[in-house]
Amino acid sequence: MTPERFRQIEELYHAAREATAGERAALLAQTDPELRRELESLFAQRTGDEFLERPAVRNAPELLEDVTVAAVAAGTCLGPYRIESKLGEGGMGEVYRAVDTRLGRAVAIKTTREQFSARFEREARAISALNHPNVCTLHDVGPNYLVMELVEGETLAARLKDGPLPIQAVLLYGSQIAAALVEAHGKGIIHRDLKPGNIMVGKSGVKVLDFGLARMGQDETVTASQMIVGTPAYMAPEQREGKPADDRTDIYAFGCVLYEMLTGARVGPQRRRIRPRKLERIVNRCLEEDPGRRWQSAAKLQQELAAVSPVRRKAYMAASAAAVLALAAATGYFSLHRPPKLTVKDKIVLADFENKTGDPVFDQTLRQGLTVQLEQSPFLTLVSDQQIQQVLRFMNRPPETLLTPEVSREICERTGSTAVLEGSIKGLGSQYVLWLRARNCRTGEVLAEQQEQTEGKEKVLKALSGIAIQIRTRLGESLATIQEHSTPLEQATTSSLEALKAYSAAKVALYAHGGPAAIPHLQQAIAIDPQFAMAHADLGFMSWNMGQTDLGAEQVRIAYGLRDRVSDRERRYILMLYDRQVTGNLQKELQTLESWAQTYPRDAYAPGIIAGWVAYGTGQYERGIQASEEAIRLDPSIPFPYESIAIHNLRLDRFTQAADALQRAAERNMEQPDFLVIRYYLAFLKGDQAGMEREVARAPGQHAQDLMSHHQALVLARSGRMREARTMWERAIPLARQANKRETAGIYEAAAAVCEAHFGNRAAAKERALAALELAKGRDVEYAAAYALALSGDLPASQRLAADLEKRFPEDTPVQFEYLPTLRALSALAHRAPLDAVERLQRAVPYDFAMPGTAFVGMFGGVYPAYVRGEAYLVAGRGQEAAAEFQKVLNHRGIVLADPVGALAHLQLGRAYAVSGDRPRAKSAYQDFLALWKDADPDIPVLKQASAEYAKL
Amino acid sequence: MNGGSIDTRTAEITNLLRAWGSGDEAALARLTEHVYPELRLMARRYMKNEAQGNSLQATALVHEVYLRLVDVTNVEWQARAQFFAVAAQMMRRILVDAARTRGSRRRDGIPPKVNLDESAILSPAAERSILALDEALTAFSQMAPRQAKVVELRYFGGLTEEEIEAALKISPRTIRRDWDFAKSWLMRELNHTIGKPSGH
Repeated sequence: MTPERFRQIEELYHAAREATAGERAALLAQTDPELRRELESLFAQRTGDEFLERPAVRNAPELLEDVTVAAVAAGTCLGPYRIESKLGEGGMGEVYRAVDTRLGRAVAIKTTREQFSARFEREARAISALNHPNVCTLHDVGPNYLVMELVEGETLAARLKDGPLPIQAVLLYGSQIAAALVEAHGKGIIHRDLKPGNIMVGKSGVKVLDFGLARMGQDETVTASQMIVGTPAYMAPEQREGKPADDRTDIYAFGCVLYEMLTGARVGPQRRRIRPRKLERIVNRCLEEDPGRRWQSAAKLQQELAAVSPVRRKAYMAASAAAVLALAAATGYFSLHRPPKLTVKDKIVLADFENKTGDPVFDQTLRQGLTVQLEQSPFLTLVSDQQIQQVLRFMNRPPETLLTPEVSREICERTGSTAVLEGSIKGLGSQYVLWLRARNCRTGEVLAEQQEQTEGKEKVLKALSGIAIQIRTRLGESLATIQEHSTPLEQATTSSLEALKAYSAAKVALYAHGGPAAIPHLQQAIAIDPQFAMAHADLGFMSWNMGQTDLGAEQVRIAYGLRDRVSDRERRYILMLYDRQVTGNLQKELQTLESWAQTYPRDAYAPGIIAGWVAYGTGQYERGIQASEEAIRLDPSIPFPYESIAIHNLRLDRFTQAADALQRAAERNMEQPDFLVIRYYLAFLKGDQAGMEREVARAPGQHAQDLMSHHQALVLARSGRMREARTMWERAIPLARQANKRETAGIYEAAAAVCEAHFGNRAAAKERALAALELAKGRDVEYAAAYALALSGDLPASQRLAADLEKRFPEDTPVQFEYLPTLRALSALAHRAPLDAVERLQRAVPYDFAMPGTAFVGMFGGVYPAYVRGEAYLVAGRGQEAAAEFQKVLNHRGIVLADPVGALAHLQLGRAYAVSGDRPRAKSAYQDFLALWKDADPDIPVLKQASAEYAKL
Repeated sequence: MNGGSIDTRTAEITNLLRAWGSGDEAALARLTEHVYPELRLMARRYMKNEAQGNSLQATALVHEVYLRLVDVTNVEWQARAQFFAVAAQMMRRILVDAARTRGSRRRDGIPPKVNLDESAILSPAAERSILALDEALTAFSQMAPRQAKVVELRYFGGLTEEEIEAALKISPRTIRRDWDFAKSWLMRELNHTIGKPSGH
C-alpha cells in the first residue's frame, strides 16, 4: 500500500465519519470501488460490544466517540444513542427521544443547527456536573448535540394555560426551582433563560431544563449588542440592556415565574396583589429593577420561601447541618467566584483514623462510620473497599494493612484518585477531639481541614456526623444535596460504638474471605444493637445468596421495619432487599434500583444488583449484561459483575462469550468459587466429558462437594441413569444437612422428586417430595415438591401447596407468573381439561425464558411453563402447537441445562409430530431421545413407554 | 511517599526527568538506562507470580515503577506525562519479548481477543494477543506513526487524553480522530476480515 493510498483512506474515513448519512452515501458513491470496500470494511469494525467506549484504567470519559451529524432520523444511531422519535422543535434545534444502548436508558437528545463553540464545550462540562433532583441532568455533549435526562411530564407553561396554581403548589414548586438555582449558582452556572417553558412538572416534582444553554452559540468576540439572549418577557432589566448577567438575573426571572404561578398572568406594568403578604414581599424583591436591591442569592431566597411554606423540612436533619448552613451563609460561601474544590468526577480515598485514645473500640470503627456518612452523598465518590483490597494485593500487602496516610496516598496515586481523607481521634480526659483533613494526593494541597471536640464517648458518633457534613461542604458539595442526604450516624446506623466495631469487622471479613466469614460478626452487631438496620439487611442479603431464603427474608423484614430511621441510600438498599427477598416482586425491585442509579449515578452497586437476580428472574439477559458492564465501568474491582456477564451469556446460549467472560475475570484475579459450576455446565453443553470431570475434581472443600454432587446427579438423571443419579443425591443431601444448609438440602430432594415424577416413578417421587418439605418450606422447595406431587398423582397435596404459595407470596414474580400457572395447569390436565391448562399458562408467556427460583441454586426447572403447555396441547390433539412449545425447550439449552426435560422434550416432540401425522419427523425425534437414553436404567416407566410407542410408528 | 529523605537514585532520576522535560535529549538515554531494567525486572517477577493468580494490568506496573523511581512531589505534570509515554513504549517491548521468549507464536486461525479499550494484561494467556497486536501495530506505524503512537500510549501506558496531548503535542481533536481510525484499522487487521489492502 502506498502512502498516498493510505492518506486517501484516512481522509475519506474521517470525512465519512463526520458526515450525515446522506452525505456519507454520496461520498462513497463517488469513490472507486476498491476504496469503498476499504472504508466499508473499516466501518464494519464499529459494531459489537468491544467497541462501546469504556474509559481506560484511570481515564475520564474524554476519549468519547467524535460523531458529528447535522440531521438525524428515527432509527439512526448517534454514537451509542439510538434515535427513537422526534419530540419536537426547540429554540435551538430539534429534540428527539433516544435510547442509550449501553445502559438501556431513555434520554432526550437536542440537536442544534450550529456547532458549539469550544467555550461552550468547556462550559458543558461544568453543566454536566449539575446533579440534583430538580435539575434536568446533562449526560453527554457532542459537537452539535446534547444528551439530557428525559423528563416526562408537561411544562409549567402548559400547566399555567389552565390558570394560576394553588398556593401549596406554588410554594412547593418555588422551593424546588430555588433549590435547582442554589445548586447551579454554587457551581458558577447561571441559567440566563429561566421561564415556565423551561420548567417541567413531573410526578416527582419540578425539573429545570437548559441551564446555561442560552449562550451556547456565542463567541467571545461578539459585541455587546449581539449578546442579548433570553426570552424578553422574563428578562431582567440589565439583560435587556445587554449588560453581563449574574445570579441575580436568574432571581429576577424566578420572580417572574413565581408571579405567573400565583396570578396566571405575566409580569407587566400593572402588578396584581398577592396573598400572603410575606410571599408578595418575596416576589417584589425578586423583581427589583436594580440588581443590588434584589435577593442576593438563591439560597437566601430559598430560606425566605421556606419561612412561608407549611411544608415541613425533613424532621431528622441534624442540628449541626443547620448550624453549618448559617455559618456558611454568613461567611459568604455562596460567592460565585470561588471554584469548587472537587467535582463529581473526583475520587477520594478514606484512610484509617489514627486512634490516639488507647481505647480499642475506636479501631476501624470511625472509618466505617465516616464511610457510611460519606456514602450518602451523591456528590462524593469514595474508592470502594474492594478496589482498595485489589490495590493492596498488587502492592503485596495483606488485606488487613492499616491505611495510614502514606499507604492511602499511594493507593490514591495508583487509582487515579484526587484526594486522601485522613483523620484522628484523641482523648483529653473525658473530652474527645476528632480531626479530619482532605489533601490532594498529587500536590499535597490541603483542601479542607476540620476539628470537632466533644464531651463523653457516647457523643463521638454524633461529632463524626457533624464533621462529615462540614467536610462535604468544604469539598464543594451543594448545600441542597447535603440537606437532602444527611441522616446522622447515630440515628441511621447505630449509636453503639461496639456494634459499629463489629460491623466494621464484618466488612473486613467480607472482603478478605467472603460472605460466610462476615456472618458471625453481623450477628454480634445485632446482638449488641438489635435496632441496627443495616446489619440486619446485610445479614439477610448474605443468607439469601447462600440459599437460605427463609432466613434471609426474616432478617430483611426486621430491617424493613427500621427503614424510616436510616439514610436515603440505606433505605433504598433495604427497599430493594424487601422486594427481592420478601415480596419477590421483581418489577418493583427493578424500579427501586433504577431510581437509585439515577440519584447516585457514580454508585456501582445499583447496576451490579440489576445485573443479578432481578435480571435473571425476569429473563432480561441483555439488560443484565449492560448493567454488568456499567458496574464494571464504575468500579472494576467488584467481582460479581464479571460472573454475571458469564451467566447471562450462558442463558442466551452464547457459550463462547460466557467462557470469555470467565477468562476476563480470571485474568483480573477475580476468580470466584461459583465459576466452577458455570464451567461445568459449559463443558456439559459442549459434550466435553473430560472437561466436566476436571471441574468436579477441582471442587475445594465441603460446600462445593455437595453442590457438585447434585449437578452430577442432574446430568445422570437427564440420561436416564437414575440409579447412579440417586447415589449422587445420597451424597449431596446429607452433606448439605451436615453443613446446616437445610433449605439447600431441600432443594436437592425436590429436584430428585421432580426427576422421579417426570420419569413415572410415582412412589419414589412422592417420598422425595415429602422429604423435601420436611427439610424446608421455602418458596422454591414448595413449588418443586408440588410439581412432583401433581405428576405422581397426589393432586390434593399439590393443590394445598399451591394455595399456600399463593397466600404467602401474593406479589412474588416467579410464583405468580411461573409456579402457580404451571401448578394450576397440571391440575387442569389431571382433570382432563387441556385447554383450561393452556389458558392458565397464558400469564407465564412473558416469562417463558426467565429463570425460576429453582434455577438459582438447583439449576433446574427452566422453561417448565412451555413444557407443560406443550403437554396440554398434546393432550388436546394439537400437534403443531405442541411441537412449537417443545421446540422452545430444545432451543434454550443455556436455560434448561441438565434438567431432564431437555431430553424428554425430544420424546414429546416425537409425540407431537406423530399427532400431526408427520411420521418421518416423529421417528427422528424418538430416535434422538432414545439415543440420549441409550445407557438409561431399563426399568424406567417413561423409557418403556417411549420404546413401545416408537415400535408402533 | 514519606517526608524523610529521598534516596540519591530517586533524586537523580527525578532530575533526569526534569532535564529531559526541559529539552535535554541526552537525559532521556540515561533515564532509559535506569527505568528499563527496573520495569523489566518487575514485569518478570509479576509474570512468574501469575501461576498464583496474580496477573495484572500493564498500566499498573508502569505506575509502580513511577512511584519507585521518581520523587512525585518534585515533578511537573507534563514531565510525568512524558515519563509515562516512554514507559509505555518500554512496556510494549517487554511484553513482546517475554511472549517470544516463552515460545508463543502468532498462529493462524481464530484471532485472539484484544480489547483496545482496556489495558494490556500481563499473563501467558494474553501473550498471543500481545504478539498479534504488536505485529499489527508495527505495520500500522509504518504508514501512520502518529496514530500508532497514540494507541501505544493509551493501551500500554494508560495515558489520558491530556497526558497524550502533553506528550505528543497534538490537539485533543487529533487524538480522538487518530484513536478512532487506529481502532478501526487494527481491529480489522486482527480480525482478518475482507478488504485487506492490496500489496500488503
